[in-house]
Amino acid sequence: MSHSEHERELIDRVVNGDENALAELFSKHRDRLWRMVNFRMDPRLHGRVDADDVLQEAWLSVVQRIDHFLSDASRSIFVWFRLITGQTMIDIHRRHLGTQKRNAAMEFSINKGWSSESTSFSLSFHLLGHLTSPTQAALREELSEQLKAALASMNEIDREVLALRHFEQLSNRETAQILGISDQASSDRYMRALGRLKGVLSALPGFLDQ
Amino acid sequence: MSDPVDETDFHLQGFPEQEGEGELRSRAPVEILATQFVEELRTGQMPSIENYARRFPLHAAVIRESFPVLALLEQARQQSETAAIRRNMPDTFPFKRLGSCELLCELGRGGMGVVFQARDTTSQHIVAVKVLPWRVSIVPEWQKRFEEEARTTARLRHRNIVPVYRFGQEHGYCYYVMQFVNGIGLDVIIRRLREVDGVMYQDEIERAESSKPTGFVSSMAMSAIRTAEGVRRATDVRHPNEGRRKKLTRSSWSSFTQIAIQATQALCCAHGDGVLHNDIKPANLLLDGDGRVWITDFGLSETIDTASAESSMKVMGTLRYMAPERLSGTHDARSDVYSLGMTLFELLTRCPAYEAKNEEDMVTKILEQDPPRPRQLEPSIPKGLETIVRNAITRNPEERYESAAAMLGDLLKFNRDQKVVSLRPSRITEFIRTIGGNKGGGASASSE
Repeated sequence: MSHSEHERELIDRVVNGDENALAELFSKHRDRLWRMVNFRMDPRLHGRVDADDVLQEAWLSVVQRIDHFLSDASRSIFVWFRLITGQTMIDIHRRHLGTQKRNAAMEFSINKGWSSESTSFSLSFHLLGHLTSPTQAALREELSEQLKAALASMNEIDREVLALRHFEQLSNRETAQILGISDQASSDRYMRALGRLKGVLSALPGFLDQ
Repeated sequence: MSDPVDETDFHLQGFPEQEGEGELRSRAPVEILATQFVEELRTGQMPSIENYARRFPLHAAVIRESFPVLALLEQARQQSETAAIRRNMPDTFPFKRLGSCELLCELGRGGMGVVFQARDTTSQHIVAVKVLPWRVSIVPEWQKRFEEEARTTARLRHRNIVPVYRFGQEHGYCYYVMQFVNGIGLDVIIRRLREVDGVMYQDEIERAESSKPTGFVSSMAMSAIRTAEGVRRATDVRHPNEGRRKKLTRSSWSSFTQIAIQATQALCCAHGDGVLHNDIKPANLLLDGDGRVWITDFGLSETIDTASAESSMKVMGTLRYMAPERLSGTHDARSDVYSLGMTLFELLTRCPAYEAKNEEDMVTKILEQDPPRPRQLEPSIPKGLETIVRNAITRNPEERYESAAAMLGDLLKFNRDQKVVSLRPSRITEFIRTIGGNKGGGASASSE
């Protein structure tokens, strides 16, 4: 039985009220949901909330709102899980960081899930992690500002495509679904975004010397 | 854009089936290649960019331009995932058994994992089990690496290396089973020597387990691991030889030399087998009640290191013993020699060679400052020992012992009261070099 056939069978069982099938579907996609949470979590929450906590809460939401998914068949179940998980993340962030002065880079928008500023911040946060030698630690501070500015100059969909394809490990089709564009457009934008990121990184002295 | 070569050369792996023919046709061919390349990166196949460029000459330019960025993005992803998993090392593990081992109590934990004392239910022997705290299901490429490393390390056989019996994976965690050593780390000994009375008794080393804070070893297990000698000595508290109980004091130079000799012999053996330790420090050198040194955690630092050097270096304790060239990204056998030298430095002086408020400060010191001379901190250190330590901890690897064997040679010489020679060029030699260019002043070493 292929992946998609198996998934369709599980969804049929969910329609018939089988919660075990829903749990199985959720755990099938769990790794990539974990990746998304890990990528997008505000660093201020490190140590307070971990990705597993978020997924636990998201699961409860999934169980509560499964009917919404079933009544609107326009998305794949993974994309829907991802949406629920994204909303759970927003709630958790508000709960922990709510009254604090908002870091403009981490504004979230419910509709898109994440604003382009937050993706930009996440990308630069994680890309700079690759400067692994402590002697480069000092360089990080300097490059951090430059990188953020450079990424901000990129088109927001380009940025988002890179985040989805790499940090969340989504396929071309899933990326297309989430961004609301065609498979072809998604494919083209990915390649263009890669080229642009290369340009951005080349402009930063010392960044690509590895 | 129909290029027959492209159509037939596609070999798609791991694509979810819902993306059928139609979807492939909508996508740019080079994007499909990029996806395949990334998939190969993720499954640890180490694809070559040049290879792709040659196989698909039509897209070669784009491949050479953008595939390195793919690698960069994947590396960044992997490192951030590693960091996240490390941050979430559980306080307690949700299991009491791993394979045929029943976990008894926690012996200690560090950045690399948690060590438990355990009973192997098949042999009823007491063993030690180290658990790496990351669930490999999240980062599957690690499991492969862990297994390779564990396999290599398990082959090491030396009287001063803690043998690894087997390794496995359960509940998503990787673990390995090794011999339980009834001893304590040099870090504990150094701390004790620093205290006012500065003495460590041999039977205290044997009884160290009973002072572990949580999860006690049952007295049944205790008696199973003590040697008959040890039991006799411990029970003979009021024996007339009490005054001559074996012990380590701040000036137990000959014992310290023995410790150094054993540790260096272990390194010689491992280096000979192509295994570097990469994390030599006092906590990884155990001393048992019989005075035997056991080095633990061989080779396994490599597995995690390359994935997240930043996080591991954040553990200041390790950073302090790290050779300067490692901080710039290269390392070889001489880096282990350096770390061992630093460990000895602390054993002899009871002080770390470098102190710093934070990572950056520490790194700067390691790279730029010379450590104090041991005899400045502890004047009674024998000169030969000081020379050996200094030869091991020179910042420039070219001026250091070229191998553990070289260091061992000097230790044995010192042990026989023979003169040990400094590897640094003498002041005179250096002076001649600077004024005479290449003429004169060879590497004639001076003795100090």
